[in-house]
Amino acid sequence: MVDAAPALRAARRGVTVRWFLFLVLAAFSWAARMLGDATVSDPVGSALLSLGILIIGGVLAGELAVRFRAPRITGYLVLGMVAGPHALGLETARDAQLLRIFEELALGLIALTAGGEFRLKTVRRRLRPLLALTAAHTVGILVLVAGGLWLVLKVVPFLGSVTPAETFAAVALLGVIAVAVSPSTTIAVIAELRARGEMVETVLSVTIIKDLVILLLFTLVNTMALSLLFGGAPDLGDLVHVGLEILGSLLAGAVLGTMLGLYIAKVGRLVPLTVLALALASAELAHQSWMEHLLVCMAAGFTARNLYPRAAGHFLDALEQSSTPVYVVFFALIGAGLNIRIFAALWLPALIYVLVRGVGVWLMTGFPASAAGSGRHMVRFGWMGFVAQAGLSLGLAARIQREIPGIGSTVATLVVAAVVVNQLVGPILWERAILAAGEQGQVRK
Amino acid sequence: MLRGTVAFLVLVACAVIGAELRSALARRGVRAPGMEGLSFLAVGFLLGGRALGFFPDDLVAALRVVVLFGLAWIGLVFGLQAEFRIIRRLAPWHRWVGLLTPVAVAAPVILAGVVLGIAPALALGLGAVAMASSPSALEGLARGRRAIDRSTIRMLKLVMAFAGIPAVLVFAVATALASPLATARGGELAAFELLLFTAAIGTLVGYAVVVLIRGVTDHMQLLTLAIGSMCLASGATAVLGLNPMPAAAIAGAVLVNRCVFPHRMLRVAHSLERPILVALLVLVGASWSSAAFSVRVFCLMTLVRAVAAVAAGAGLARVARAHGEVLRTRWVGCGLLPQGELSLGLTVAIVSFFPATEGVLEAVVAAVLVSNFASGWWMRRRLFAPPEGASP
Repeated sequence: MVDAAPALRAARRGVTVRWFLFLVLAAFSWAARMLGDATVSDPVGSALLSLGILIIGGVLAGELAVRFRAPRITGYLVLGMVAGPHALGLETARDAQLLRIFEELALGLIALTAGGEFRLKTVRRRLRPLLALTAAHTVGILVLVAGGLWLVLKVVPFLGSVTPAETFAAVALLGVIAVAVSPSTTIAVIAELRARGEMVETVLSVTIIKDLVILLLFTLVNTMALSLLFGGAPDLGDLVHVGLEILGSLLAGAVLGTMLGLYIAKVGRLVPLTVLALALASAELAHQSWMEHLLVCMAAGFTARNLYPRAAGHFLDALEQSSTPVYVVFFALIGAGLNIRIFAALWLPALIYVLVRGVGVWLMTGFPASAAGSGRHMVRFGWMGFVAQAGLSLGLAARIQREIPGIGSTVATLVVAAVVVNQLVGPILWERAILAAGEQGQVRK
Repeated sequence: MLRGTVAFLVLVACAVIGAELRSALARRGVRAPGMEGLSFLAVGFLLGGRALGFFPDDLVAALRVVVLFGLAWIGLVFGLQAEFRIIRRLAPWHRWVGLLTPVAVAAPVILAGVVLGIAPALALGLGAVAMASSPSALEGLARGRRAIDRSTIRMLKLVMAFAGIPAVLVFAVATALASPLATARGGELAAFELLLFTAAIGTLVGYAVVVLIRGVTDHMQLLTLAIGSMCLASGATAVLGLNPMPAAAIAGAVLVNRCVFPHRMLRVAHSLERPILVALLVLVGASWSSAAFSVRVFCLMTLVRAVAAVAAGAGLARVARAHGEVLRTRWVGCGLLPQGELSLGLTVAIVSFFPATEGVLEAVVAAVLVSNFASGWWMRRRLFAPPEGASP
């Protein structure tokens, strides 16, 4: 104990020095930007400056998070939030716009990794729990959260003065967004802990399947909410349209994945550049058409991994193991996009929503997993893997705000505030679950 | 963004096709003399705005982020090679010869440039480009030749290894002079301040990385920190209208001389060097414009540079002889003629940061091509010719 004290002090001093240096770098960069803005005004330079701050700060914050027994990505997120345009403004809104391409690129790479983890033999082996959990989550969480919020609203009317129809539409939409999870967060924590095992495989598989289902579910609920609020029959054509979008995205992903697998197996040159190109192409397809970037990349990773298990598998494993820069960039940028001010304004309703959702996730994971014959770790700790929410939830919230005037704005703001909490708490809980289940540090079979 | 993606896909296609083409030619015994990235350059041109049109000019401009980061990364690799522990082990005359020979090559180019009416900042930039030679061309031609003078090759490699130091310094001065901030704030004094600022950014980033990587052994963690620091260095210089390469080179030099395990960082830097060079070369190829071509710059970079290099080589041979090291030929300067990726990278930097550079890129690219093909022939005749009377 006596011997450890100087080492501990030295370590603390090291952390302090590193943070001090980071602050000096940040101040220097800020000064350079101020000096240059008046005459040179190079937006690309400014964006690169922000990216540098986010990456270096993210790495330091990740290390700090580990000291506090939290996953690194929590550190990246917090740093992004603090440095982002909604707080200190070291990264400006204009920079965020220019850096969006990096976010898309990182998301594509993470989705490719996630898709590569989704193996057909896992699906066959755990078909019952997967079906049970997916069904319970999509229906159960929606009903539980919507019902729970309906009851809470009777006591605490945090939505303000709204009509019963608006209340119904709002709780239904909040319920459907409660189903959404963040596959990128799930895979990031798995990659950090090198986790393998029954619980990890089940949670990741359900997360990926839910990502497909949520789009259909959201469209259905959104259509019904629109019909309820503005009259007219629900337009189920939208549902068919979304179904086709999902199918198209999966098909495009399958084609890209086959090409990727074939390329890695037959040519094998400049594979990292090729994968970057695939991620960018998918992002672009999504921007220019109705396709979903995340789904295209997941399907590509899944196809490449399952069609060419040796060649593509090795590469996707390497991609997962060398993902630190991708995660730092992605989560720091995600953090920068989280509006902490909205949370500060709406913390009470947001916490209520988070709590109700947490209870729903807990109930709808433990019981179905137990009934479907999952292991005890999945039954006890599995719910912790479904707490984190990020891009998808924010995207759905933005759509609600756009499509439903009036109440849509309130719902979207509440979702953004809740995502701040879920995205900060989710990775910590998921890491705890993996450690409790003892599935960390496993070698891939 | 769609075109950005297409561009990226094209970039990869270029890389793959170029690599395949090169391998196929090598299998048939055809070797481009020295310049490894020639295939990337050629495919970039074919797919560029002047040929097939997949890669129009405005798109090349949109890929500025790749250029800025790429230049910083090349600067870092440069700086990481300036390890004083190794330099100190060399004989003093080796150090002087290593530093002064590239300067002797560049000085006539700069002077002739100014005489020909090229802006001093641009002439200095071209001087920096003129200092860089391609070691791979020399190695490619020397490989498998038994009748080779090892002292000459060693001496040439020494000069090429040292060339980065004066090249980066001259380039830093040139970019400071050309910065719009210097122009706006009144010329040389402001340029001097910007030069100090470049040095400060480089030193600060270098020392920061030394502290940040202390105790870090994981390659990915090191790579992440290196990427972050180079983003920071390139961003901080670019917002002032400065070239990121000198600041990054200073950071690299600080890093390699101050950190405990410098070779880890060198490994990290090399791991990204090739994809970055590929990206830059394809951009160079795609930016080629046959409509604009600076004959003055082409003459400077071919004729003036060739004469200067041969003269500097003769001087080098004389100094070596004075120190007891006899080189077999006085045509040592032929070995400094071929230019490669580095010259092109510096030229991209010139075009990105200097005003009024129409036709410069095209002229330098043409000069690099000429230097590769012509110097191959010349080197075979003068540098690698077996001594008279020797059996073949």
